[in-house]
Amino acid sequence: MSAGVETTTEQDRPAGWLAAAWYKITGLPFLNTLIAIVLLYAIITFITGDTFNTPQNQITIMRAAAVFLILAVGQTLVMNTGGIDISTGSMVGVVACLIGTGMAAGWIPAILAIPAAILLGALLGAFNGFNVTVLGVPPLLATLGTFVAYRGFAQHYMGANMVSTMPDLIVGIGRNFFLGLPVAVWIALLVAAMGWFLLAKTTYGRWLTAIGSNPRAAEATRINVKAVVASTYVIQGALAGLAALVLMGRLASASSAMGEGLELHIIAAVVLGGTFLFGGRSTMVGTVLGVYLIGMLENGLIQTGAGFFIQRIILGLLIIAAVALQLRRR
Amino acid sequence: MQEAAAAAMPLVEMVGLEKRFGGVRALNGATLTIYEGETLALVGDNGAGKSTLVKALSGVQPPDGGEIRLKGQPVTIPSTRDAGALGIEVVYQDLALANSLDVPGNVFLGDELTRTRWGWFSVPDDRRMLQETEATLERLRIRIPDPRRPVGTLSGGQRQAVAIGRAIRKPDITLLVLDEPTAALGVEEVKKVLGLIGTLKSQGQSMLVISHDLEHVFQISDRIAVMRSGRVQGVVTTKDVTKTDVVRLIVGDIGTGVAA
Repeated sequence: MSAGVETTTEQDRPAGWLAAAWYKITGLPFLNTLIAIVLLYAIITFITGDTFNTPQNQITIMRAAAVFLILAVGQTLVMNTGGIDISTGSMVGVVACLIGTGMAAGWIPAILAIPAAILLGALLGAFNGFNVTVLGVPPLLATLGTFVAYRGFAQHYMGANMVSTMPDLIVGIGRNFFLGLPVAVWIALLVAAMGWFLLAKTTYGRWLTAIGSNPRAAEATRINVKAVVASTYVIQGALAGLAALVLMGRLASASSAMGEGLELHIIAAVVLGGTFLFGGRSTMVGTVLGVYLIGMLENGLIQTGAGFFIQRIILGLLIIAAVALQLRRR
Repeated sequence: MQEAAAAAMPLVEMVGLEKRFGGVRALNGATLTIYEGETLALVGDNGAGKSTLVKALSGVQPPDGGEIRLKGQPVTIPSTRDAGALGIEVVYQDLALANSLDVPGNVFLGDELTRTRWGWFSVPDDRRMLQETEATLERLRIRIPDPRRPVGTLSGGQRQAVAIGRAIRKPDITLLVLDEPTAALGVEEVKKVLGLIGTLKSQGQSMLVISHDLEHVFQISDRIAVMRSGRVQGVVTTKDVTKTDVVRLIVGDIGTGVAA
């Protein structure tokens, strides 16, 4: 009933009486993420004066976060089973190179590029799923392998070349607005809504939680654990294909470096949103909040003059801190 | 009880089961009959072959040789799914429960009642699953104050009840196998679980109970089968023997002269 799998986890309940009271009233487990957003928002606004807290800047944050959110939805499903996919950025790179050059050479019409990118991403994800479930390679290493191999493929294929024209349709996905928000944000929200439905409202979502919680329990039932686990990597790959389209549209170009470093943002966002790194609990709403938190942090860091390298330092440390906090609460 | 057992129908017959692991003969011609409606306890030292026998019955590790008959019909049980299809349900010692899911979520895991028929992506009918779970717990005379809580927060006895509830939920269950149901439980919890087994017994459920604890075995069983070196060395009627007799059988102090 009501919130289904999303809120049935004891460990979801945040520590502290305030958090406990909140959980009791709302049934939502991600108070900590919300508090972090409010605090950070106030701090960044205080430091930057009036450049951060403007509607225009909020749209900038959301547009940048749209690609993160698309990927974070898939990562939430993968992580809920106790897996992880660190090859997401590299999958984005491969799809961008192949589909980008395909469109530039006129082999792929723009309208077909959309299903083609998603399908290609799904294939790349299926390879991850195969390695994890059939070969039994631990997810971290299976996707570390493809993280390197996929990027290597993109670099080999493209070299230092770049596709610098994109069809209007693709550019529109990355840059146009619809009802006051970027199209990319609408796409990301739609993906998040579908992810929420899958996770919270279907037997599939419940199986993911069961697998992450106790794989042996799931294996003792009629659940086809391997197929279900593999499917999460396929979904993650398909979403990487979609993210590649949005990114190509936004940048109106494609190169072998596309998507580099994305995986760090995604994993940080998902973990900050309350998904347990070792599986068995996650919420899609928490992931949306985690993505916004990361997007806001990054934007704030840029506004306060911190460079790209400082951002990476902070992101990396943030992942460690978030996981350490999760383990303490256990 | 011996007369009653003799009069009852054989439910499951295991005849001359063999299982080798390399040079080790884990099952060496094990033969055992379980009658309808009885509670048969299976005891024996570590390594006597109890769990190998259960694994043969549950489809986890099919035997190399011998025959299993269900209600007189020879059957093969190559997988746990086949065991389930034959109505053989095993509740394991380590209680394969998903701690994040609530009680109905565990009881129906992989077998969810749904409001839509969209395969993997069906929408679970949580209301009905909760009702049926409560009915099952009622049958077990077990009260779990809030079945919507994740089972990770329940006590050991309650978790055992969830695991058993999961096994007996299906209407066509023929044999319930309980693997060390009282291991790792506190005194009060043990009482509850023994009471639960008594409830099932009064409802005519045929059970095979593997246990190390002779105290518990004597409280719940109709007959006791003793395994040693991969064979069933003897089967005795519980009310006719003492613990000392059973211990002797376990360690091999006397021959197989006791009614086999």
